[in-house]
Amino acid sequence: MEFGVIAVIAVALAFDYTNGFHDAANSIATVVSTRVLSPRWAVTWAAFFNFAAFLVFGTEVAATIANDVVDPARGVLTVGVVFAGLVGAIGWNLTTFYLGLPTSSSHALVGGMAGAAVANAGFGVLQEEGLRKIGVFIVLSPLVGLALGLIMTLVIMWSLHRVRRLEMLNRAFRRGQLFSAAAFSLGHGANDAQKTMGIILAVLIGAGELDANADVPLWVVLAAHTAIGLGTLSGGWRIVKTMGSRITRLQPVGGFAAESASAITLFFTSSAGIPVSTTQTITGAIVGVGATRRLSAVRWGVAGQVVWAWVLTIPGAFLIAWLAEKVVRVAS
Amino acid sequence: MRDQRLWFFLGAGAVCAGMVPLAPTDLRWVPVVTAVVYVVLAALVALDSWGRRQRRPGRPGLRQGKARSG
Repeated sequence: MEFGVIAVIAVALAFDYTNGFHDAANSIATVVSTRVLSPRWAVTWAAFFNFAAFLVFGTEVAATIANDVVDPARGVLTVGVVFAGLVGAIGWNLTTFYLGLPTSSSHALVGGMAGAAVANAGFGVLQEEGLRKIGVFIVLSPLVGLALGLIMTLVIMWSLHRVRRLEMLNRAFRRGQLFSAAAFSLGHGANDAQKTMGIILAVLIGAGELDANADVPLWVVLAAHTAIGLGTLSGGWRIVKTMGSRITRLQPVGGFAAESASAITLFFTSSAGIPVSTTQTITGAIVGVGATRRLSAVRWGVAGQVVWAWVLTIPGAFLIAWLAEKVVRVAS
Repeated sequence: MRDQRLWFFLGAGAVCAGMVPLAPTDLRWVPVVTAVVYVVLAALVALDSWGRRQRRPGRPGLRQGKARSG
């Protein structure tokens, strides 16, 4: 394996690591804020299920990233193009982090891959159907999460409305959050680690290390899940911003419903090979839980950031990757 | 004041319906089902608001307070 391939794989795994680092807060914020687990135990719990996801889910999302964004038959996905795509995604994430703008790593990755490929060979290399599938579910995943979060909360409240011992109920849902947080971490590990697998698969195919129709090698699966798990383990507890109280104030029952709703959404999208933003999915579910009370219970500034991320991320990452590909081509 | 959730759910349902022709054929059922769910939620909110108005005739202040907390 040549040095360039190894370097791109290392950058892709670093991207995966930062994804775990940043998104750990989504999995554990409610568990920590309701004091079910200490932050350290919570990130360990989330990291374990991030890693264990490879035992439960296939590699459909990885196949979508590797085959359905850019046509692999055109031979465009060279080491340089994939590297430029990653530079676009990471560059966009760093820019938005510096400017305080909302973003989605998942969308940035798709935008970056597309931008680098277009810079190399024009718009004809893009897979229209694959991009349409990804684009539609960028919009749908938070709305599906919202509807499920709302329905789950209503069903729980309706079925338990005769229970008078609220303290007992809260205790039960605090314990239930252990399972809902585990399920969300499983979905997060499945969907996000597979995006990295897709990038690595693309570069291995592009470099001639694998056939065009090859499955994701086991070492790639394990490396991607290890990277996201380590990211969650090492960074998550320091950047826990309670998603719950940032969007709407959550009780244990609401945290349970939001995590379960987003876990269901992620299980479905991962099985169907659809890359989605895990952050936006749980944001939608939390808004859904808040909307069972009233719309003014939701802090719409945070929810509105989801819409801005839709509009900005893919074009932004596309542009940076487009420029990066030109630089890479001149330099090589 | 009418419950804002009615318009929010109708808007979300319209966005989902707008995604139907764009979605891949095998996954088209997802935006269809989601749009229907939002329309049903909007109908339930409308029924709830109507029911509250019917239960409290002549007490608009209380009705408004209930709508906000409900």
